[in-house]
Amino acid sequence: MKGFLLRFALFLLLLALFGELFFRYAVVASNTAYKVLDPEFRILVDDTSGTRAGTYTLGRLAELRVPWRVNRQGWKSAADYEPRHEGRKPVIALIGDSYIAGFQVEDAQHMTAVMEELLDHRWDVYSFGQGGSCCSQFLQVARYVRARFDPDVYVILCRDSDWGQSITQNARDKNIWQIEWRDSVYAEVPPRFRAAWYRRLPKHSALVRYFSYNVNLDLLGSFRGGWSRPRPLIGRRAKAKPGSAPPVRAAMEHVVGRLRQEIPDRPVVFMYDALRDRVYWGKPPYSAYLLSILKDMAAKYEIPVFDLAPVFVADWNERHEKFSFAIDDHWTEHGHRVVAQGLFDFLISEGIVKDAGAGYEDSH
Amino acid sequence: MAFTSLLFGLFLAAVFLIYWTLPRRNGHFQNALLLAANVVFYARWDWRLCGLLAGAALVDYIAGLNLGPEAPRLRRRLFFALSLTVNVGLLGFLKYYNFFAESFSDFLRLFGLHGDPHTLRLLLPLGISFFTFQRLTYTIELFRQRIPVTRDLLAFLVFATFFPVVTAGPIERAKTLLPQFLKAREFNAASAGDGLRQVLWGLFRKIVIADNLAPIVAEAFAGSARLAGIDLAAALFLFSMQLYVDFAAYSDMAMGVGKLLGVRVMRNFAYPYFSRDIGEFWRRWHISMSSWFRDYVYTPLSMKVSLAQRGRRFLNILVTFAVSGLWHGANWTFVAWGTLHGLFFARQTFVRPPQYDSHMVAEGRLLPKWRELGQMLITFALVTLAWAFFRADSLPHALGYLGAMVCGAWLQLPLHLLPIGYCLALLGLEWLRRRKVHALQIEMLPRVARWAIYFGLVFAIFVFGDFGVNDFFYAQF
Repeated sequence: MKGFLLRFALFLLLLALFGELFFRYAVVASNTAYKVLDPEFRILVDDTSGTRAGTYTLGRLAELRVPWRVNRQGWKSAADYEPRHEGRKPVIALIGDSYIAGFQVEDAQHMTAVMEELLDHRWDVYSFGQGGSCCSQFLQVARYVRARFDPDVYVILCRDSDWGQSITQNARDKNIWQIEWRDSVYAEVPPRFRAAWYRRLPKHSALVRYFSYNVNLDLLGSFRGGWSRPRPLIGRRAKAKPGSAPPVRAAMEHVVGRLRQEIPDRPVVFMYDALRDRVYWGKPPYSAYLLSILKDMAAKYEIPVFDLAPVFVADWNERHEKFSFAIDDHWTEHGHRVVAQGLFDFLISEGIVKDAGAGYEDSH
Repeated sequence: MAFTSLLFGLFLAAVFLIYWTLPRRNGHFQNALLLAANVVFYARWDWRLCGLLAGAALVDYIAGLNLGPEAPRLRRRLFFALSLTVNVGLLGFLKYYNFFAESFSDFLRLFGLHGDPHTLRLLLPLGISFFTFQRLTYTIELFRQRIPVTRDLLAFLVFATFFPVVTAGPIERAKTLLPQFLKAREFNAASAGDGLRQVLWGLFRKIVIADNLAPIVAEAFAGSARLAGIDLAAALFLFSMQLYVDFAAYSDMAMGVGKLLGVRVMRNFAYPYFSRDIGEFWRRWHISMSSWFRDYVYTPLSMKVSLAQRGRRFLNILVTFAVSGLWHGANWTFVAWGTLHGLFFARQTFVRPPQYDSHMVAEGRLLPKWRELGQMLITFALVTLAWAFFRADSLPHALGYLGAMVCGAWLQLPLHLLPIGYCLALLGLEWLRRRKVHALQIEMLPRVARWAIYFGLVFAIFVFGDFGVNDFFYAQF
């Protein structure tokens, strides 16, 4: 028995060592930045204390390899972000989740770079994306962005699932800023994330990272916000439990209303994402119910909503080139280009960017 | 708790370590641990049905106490009837009630009568067909006075709920499995090592091969009208492989886990696709089930039938296969599949009796003779055609699939060449290893070579494995 166990332990040890080497140098396991909590605003940003560069890989065979860099402010970008000062170019801030972070594409192909090109490099586009974020978190990120960088335009990317995910009663996510339905109003609940050294330990292992990021097994689940993924209580699940779900309309009102109240002097745009697969199948690419509520709410607070679905549908009908990877739902380079072009056109059509060379205050 | 999950790996490791450190005296401690493990394993799927499993097992235990040779004849018959009624009644009610209610209603409609089926929303216990048949072997064999009564309740409960076989077999016999729990099990490093290898081989076949074939097959069966004939034929071939690999992988893992715990679990597959006729196929495919039906359905039906009564024998074969088809699932497709297999026996029954003993084809040779190759291909083609009924949702679906396959275009390359290639490679490997219980019995190789092969398999699982929630195909039965 002892001999058997020793041999088996030796086998596992050698297997782990071989795995470490294999997934470090042959099939390179994906790597992303460590997260820390901004002490003042309590939102997750990328850690800038150690290495700020790495390689993101996608797929079992690491078919896609993309180098990434984190700037000094803790966001995935090659360029540093500057606070407002005389002589700074006008800035568009993109706030969102992993789609805005865009680890799957190189910086030069990211929608920020495409937009800067479309804007003739007379504007800077800053992206503030963190995987797993949702609308309640975007509100807090917008506060952070305003205080630190005071951009000229705010663009917030959201989709159907972001509303349900925002509400603690649906699923508490300790990594994000959420809202909680208490006494018929929403109260904001800060995250409880702690960047302890032992939480980072597993990510040193290429084997663990391979299973977590390339295979998408939730090995790092406990480090990313719980073993089980949040299952928002919206739509059919909410209908199945009448009275149990906090109202999504009030959640939207809280987020949209606060945004308008706290950023009264700058244009804010909601960019509403569409499910790519449903675009390819020719089906409605989002919940028309949620979008209609958002549009009502946005109209009430004079915030324009940019619907990405028609942009995706038009491009798909014209080119038949997919916007997302076959093995991952995030935007490809083509997806980033289409979104950037669509957003640029929308900002022009709405008069938010009247002259690509002038900032908001100059152009109004 | 699926055998392929990380959770099961941790569970097995914990059970293994505790199991072999417990005192061996009479095996009571080992049995207590196994019973706890069985409960945890089953409760992980649905804890509410543990009571049903235990209740039915207790009925059989009590029936068994009254089936001993010393018991009066009437009492023996009564308790045997009780056991049969409870087991077959539970299985019939939970698995077949809705099927028969709907079928009866459809039948009435044929005559213009309205008979709305009164169906029930029943939760079908996982593995009910397997554990019911396994327990039945105890009372049937006791009634036939072929095994002694078991008074050790703990050992009996472990036998009735043994976690490696409870959800998808092999359907163990009381005669072989139960006595193993009546004494302490001793650790055997060689057997445990072989068990680990068998688990690894099963895991590889399930996660890398079967689960990667599943979506291709599902797509073909969902949209058979859109595909060319050759693609449908290829998908049917891939389903044939998926089903075999999936179920044989489960059986391998069950056997391997059994070996780790010092318990011999019967072999369920013996390279069935190398069979030269349908009779040989059924001696090599799902051996535990086919031998169960042979021993407990066909043999009693044929007890008073002479060899000359070929028509009667053939009818018994048809009945046995139709019932075995129904055992798989409450759908006419399974009945059709079973009946089709029964019909395949027509040639053996009326024209030419079975020619082969249990020896493997091309014994002592590397390659089969042309004649053997032809026989194997014909048997494989027949079995594969019948799988269309096994996989389809309904009889029209199966007939539509086969119709589209025959009438569709054939003069082109199939879409999924790579999966066909690796299935053929697997068959080639199995051909070379056909004298072994499983392909990973490579103890004659130097350790470095063996470990390199293990590493290769583990990394193939890591890189090519499908880690989605893919239950074993046979777990649904």
